[in-house]
Amino acid sequence: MDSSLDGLSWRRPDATLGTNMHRMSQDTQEMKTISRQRLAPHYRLTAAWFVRHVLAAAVVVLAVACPAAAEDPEGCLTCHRYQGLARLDPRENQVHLYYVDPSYYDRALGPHARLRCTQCHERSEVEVIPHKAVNPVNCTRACHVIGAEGMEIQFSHSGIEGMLQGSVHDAKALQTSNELLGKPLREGQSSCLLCHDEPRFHRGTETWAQQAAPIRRCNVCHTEALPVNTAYFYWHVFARSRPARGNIDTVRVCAVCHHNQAILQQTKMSDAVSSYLFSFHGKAMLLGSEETASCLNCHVGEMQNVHVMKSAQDPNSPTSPMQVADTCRSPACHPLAGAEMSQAAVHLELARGFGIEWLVAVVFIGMIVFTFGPSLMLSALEMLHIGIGREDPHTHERAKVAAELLEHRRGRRLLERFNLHQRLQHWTLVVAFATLVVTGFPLKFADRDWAAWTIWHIGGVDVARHVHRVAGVMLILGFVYHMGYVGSLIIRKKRREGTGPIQTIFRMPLAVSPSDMKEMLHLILYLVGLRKTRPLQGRFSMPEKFEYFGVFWGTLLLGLTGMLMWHSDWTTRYMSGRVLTLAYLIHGFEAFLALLHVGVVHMVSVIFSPAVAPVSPAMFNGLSGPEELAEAHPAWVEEAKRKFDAGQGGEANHG
Amino acid sequence: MDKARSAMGAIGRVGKRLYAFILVLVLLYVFYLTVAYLVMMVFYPSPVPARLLEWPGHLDASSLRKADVPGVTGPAARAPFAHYHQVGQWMQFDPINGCTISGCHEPLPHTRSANVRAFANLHATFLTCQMCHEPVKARPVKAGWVSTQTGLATDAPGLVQLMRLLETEREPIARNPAAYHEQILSLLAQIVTVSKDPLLQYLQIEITTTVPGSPVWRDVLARLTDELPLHARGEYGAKIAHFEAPDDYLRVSQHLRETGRTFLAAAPEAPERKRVQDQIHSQMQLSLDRCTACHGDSPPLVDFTALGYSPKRAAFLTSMPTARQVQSIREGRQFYLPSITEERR
Repeated sequence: MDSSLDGLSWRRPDATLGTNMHRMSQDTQEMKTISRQRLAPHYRLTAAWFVRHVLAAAVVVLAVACPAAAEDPEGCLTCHRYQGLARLDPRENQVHLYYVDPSYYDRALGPHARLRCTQCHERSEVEVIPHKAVNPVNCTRACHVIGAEGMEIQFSHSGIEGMLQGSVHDAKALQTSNELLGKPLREGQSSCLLCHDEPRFHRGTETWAQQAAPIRRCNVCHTEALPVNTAYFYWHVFARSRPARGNIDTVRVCAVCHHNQAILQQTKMSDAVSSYLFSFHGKAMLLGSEETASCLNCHVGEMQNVHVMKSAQDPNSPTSPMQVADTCRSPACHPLAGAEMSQAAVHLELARGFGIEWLVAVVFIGMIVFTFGPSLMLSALEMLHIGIGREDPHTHERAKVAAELLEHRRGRRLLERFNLHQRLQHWTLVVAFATLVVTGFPLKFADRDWAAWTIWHIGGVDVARHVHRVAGVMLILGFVYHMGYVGSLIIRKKRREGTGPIQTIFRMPLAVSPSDMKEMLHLILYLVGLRKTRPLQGRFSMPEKFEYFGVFWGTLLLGLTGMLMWHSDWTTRYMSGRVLTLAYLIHGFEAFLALLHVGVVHMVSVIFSPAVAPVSPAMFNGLSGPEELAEAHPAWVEEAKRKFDAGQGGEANHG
Repeated sequence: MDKARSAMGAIGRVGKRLYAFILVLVLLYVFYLTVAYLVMMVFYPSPVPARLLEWPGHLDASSLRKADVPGVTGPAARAPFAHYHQVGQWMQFDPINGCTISGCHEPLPHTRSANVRAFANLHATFLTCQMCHEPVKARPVKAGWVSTQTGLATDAPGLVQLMRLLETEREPIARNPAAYHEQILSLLAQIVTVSKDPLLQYLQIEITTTVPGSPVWRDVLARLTDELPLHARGEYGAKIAHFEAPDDYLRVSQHLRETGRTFLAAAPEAPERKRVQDQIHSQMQLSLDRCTACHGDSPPLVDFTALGYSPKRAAFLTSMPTARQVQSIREGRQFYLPSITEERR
């Protein structure tokens, strides 16, 4: 099928640029030569035989010579390369496909590309058209692989049958599975097909462009003088040096049975796929990580064959209590971890009740509902007030006062809500928090399409993880900066006024006092229409104080749990692996809580609310707008006015 | 001026209020989503994404009406269990075809003759039904390509055109590659859009990034010449139809769709049903006489060269010996594959 056959060639004279397709041509020629040599000479020369074979010979010669024929020595792909070679059985409502992708053979996409069709399909059944297929393919029959030197190598999968008999996937289990799955395999078909389809070399994420370069390098030496199907052997060696399937493909295969409700009910097994997907490994797998553990990493021991998989109760199983610690600590996974690593939940089933893990989850759900719920309701009521046009009768007047004060430099100093340090702390928090959300939440919601999209754009799970950790450190440094700032205030107060640290902390503007509770009640009553005026809130309202403490507490909790997970090896050397599970749960719930408060409640109040549109300037210049000041901080405006009239103020704002 | 300003102010106030109401609804919806998510997370098993579960136990009739079958085609595809061989690209679906869109026939409609139904179905993916089932008035029939997207007459598919170009213009291309570079790329782009084959995409990139006429360019072109025939199996984005006017196929298909629906809406025993069926089928020949009508007879039913095929491909299709064998199978004779390339024990 070389286009250079009829005289004028596209190709440059240098033959070293031969492609895999042309190498396949060489293999095909070799196979044909072998076949010809082995032709049995004992045919009876009857007239019928003569007519049939001369006619048939013409078919194959033309079929092979035709440019559209694929590289199969038996000419099967002449017909079977058409996707439409199929039929619908109306009674069973089932499509019977007879299509075989020719590129599998032309591009040597998998180990079976070296087999002829009749190595698997019974020759006597397929050499006649229409085919008289009676016996399904038996995967354990011996086949003859044509090697690089044109020699036949006999090979068989029959040993696998024996392995399976001693494993959890014995013949009976596979037969039961086929029945419970609705018999996807026809009577007599090999049960191997429940897990295996046409084997393909696992090429990872390489594109054809990336694949071509090394093969071309091989072809520099492997010319006609040293003929080898370089594409095939490159992929054979390359693919064999890593798992035959990617993580997602592996889980898909296992999910066929281990997520099937009929099978789970019959075998009384738990849903291993669902519980795996709740774990860190499962989520990383969904986001495309090939480094994370999938089913086979834990359930097949090192140097073991996947076909001898044992139950966790079997002492020989890598997941048995005897071996599971070593399995976790295998060189490829967590070699430096403590033995307690095995206590971390790889299959996490909160729905089934999982002791303290379940309790932690329920507590956090309560916290989320009973903190985020009221905050969100307050925001919604505020919006509702704007919608119906209800406002405090004094707001307009106070806004005028605030606007007048903001026109004077001294007035602006008096009304400054955030000084430069505080704004820097806020922006550090903004950058760190946003980065943490973008790199962390795809993991929490790994089963959603947007999560995979986000991680792909970030550059993969590993990049996201590293960026997440850097942002986490930035958050902690921001927290340290804040604590240093608070500490400096305490020291300064002590020097100036002689007040103790506790006293100073309770006098800080963000400290909660009994009057805040009264203001909060007042605000609620106003928002539900039981009061006509807003509470006289000062520099920081109660909802803002609540937000501050949320961030304070959240940073501590997220930082601590994040560090425990980051240094999981260290953690499991000194603590139970369940600590990791708890850290994983708490980190996720707390981050979710933070996202709700910051991403919804806070963003509405400082950006999306029509009262501050397009955005509150407080974190840019330290000042809120006059309407915002009059509505949410009337006491702060009145105090500033009093000081302004008295000629006070104008010094830098601390605290 | 003041009136305009006050009107704008009023609109602004109304907009602000409306926006506030929308925010209220958004906030309440977020709260609902949050609670629902948390409850589902703790009290129900984790959801398993569809992409992990789209395994094709059986392919049913609905799969024939899709351009892609999740789980069978696409990146992480798996072969239908009983089929074993991976499918890759799914068979070309024609969303215009009135015979199938009406619900009367399936896209692979041939089910009766056990010996040749799959061969006949093979053709259904790139021939319109009328090509075989409309009585022939003259040979060769006036045929052309219709787009499977619009149903309107279109040029020969990029694949057919490029195969022809590379075969018939071989010498001029070799002499003056730059003159053909853009044309080759344009046709290849058409092919890649339909085929989505990774190797063709790679060859497209290679041709795009090489200098016309350079050794690498010539090598890529040689590989492309080898590769294209593998895709001449219905990956066209078009079908062969016979028509007089460019919108004939679309018009006839719409008519058949409506008539077919009338047929299906009538009760099974209703005379209306029989009348409609007769009305449609009386204009058709229900079964084609011979495979050799196109593949063997002289002159053939279809002029493949006029359809844009290269002379070599047209000659192959016209004299297709396989078709002659299928014809003999239709006539009840078995056919044994030859053994000249086979060992026979």
